[in-house]
Amino acid sequence: MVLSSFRRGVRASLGVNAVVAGFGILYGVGAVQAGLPPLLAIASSLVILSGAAQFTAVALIGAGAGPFAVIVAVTGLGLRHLPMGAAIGRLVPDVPRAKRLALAYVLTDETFGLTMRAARDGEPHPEDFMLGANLTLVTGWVLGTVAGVGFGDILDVEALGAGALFALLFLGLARESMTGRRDVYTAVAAAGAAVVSIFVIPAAWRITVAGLATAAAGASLPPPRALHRAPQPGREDLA
Amino acid sequence: MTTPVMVVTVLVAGVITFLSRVSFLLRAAPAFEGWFGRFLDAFPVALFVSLAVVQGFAPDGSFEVGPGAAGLLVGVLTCVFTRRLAVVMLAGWLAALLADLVI
Repeated sequence: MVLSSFRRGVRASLGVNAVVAGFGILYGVGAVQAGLPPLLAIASSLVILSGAAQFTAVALIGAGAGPFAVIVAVTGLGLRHLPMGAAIGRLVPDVPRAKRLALAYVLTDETFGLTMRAARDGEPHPEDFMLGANLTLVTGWVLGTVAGVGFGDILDVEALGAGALFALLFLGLARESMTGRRDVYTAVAAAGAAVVSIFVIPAAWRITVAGLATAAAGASLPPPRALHRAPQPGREDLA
Repeated sequence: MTTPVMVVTVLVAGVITFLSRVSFLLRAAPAFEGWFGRFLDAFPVALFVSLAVVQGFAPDGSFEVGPGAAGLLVGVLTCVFTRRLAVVMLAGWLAALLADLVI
């Protein structure tokens, strides 16, 4: 392992994972309120390790849904990990299988975004960068869950706008991922698709359907040269 | 749902989530040229924007224009001027807190 890359991953993810820890607190509170035993609530954060899936699962359990409904919802949300894994796989062609398994265990939206950005910025060992980011994410998520389970009645992170921060975190990751006009078109289309999905698609499938459909549409756009016959140097960069 | 059923449900959910994560990561991936390559290039932005919009406008499942949506809109405006994650989050978060006081 290249420790310098690992440390860069840890450093890059500290701010993001502070938000993740806050959301972990919300999850811990919600899980116990939904009826999960405290130890199972904490174990679920280690076993599933997916905020979207876990929040959906406890919402369904709290509403009295059966296990089949929970599994279907988790499957729908999990489908977005398939292209995420493929995208990360492109960055780590020569990594041993054991390390791939470790990367897959914590392939979350946050560390995916941070790693893609780092690779784009020239990180020479994205696999070690991601392991560092993953470590802080797991730590923050699980400790947040423990705090929510144990001290949920005195920790009111929702009053501090934790929900808004989570949306803003993903908005910021999207902005950092954008490098050209095609990405702007993709972002606008994704926003429209996501709004429409709120009205027509069950909650557990919205993110997956909107994300996959928009990426498919974006991939079907003509190549950049066909979009702009006379591109001006530097105009593609938004930053 | 009884506790044993919950335990099994959590374990199955964990296995499904892990399988979805590991499917394309277990072996060395090809370069993915062509349409699928462009799909993977577009996917991060599509995914993150979808996550942000759904979380901002439907935090509890139903469409609502609340403090989170106000924060998200200010965040989008901030994105026009900077791509720094911390600045986008700070501006949007302050707007959401302000909107929460006003609404």
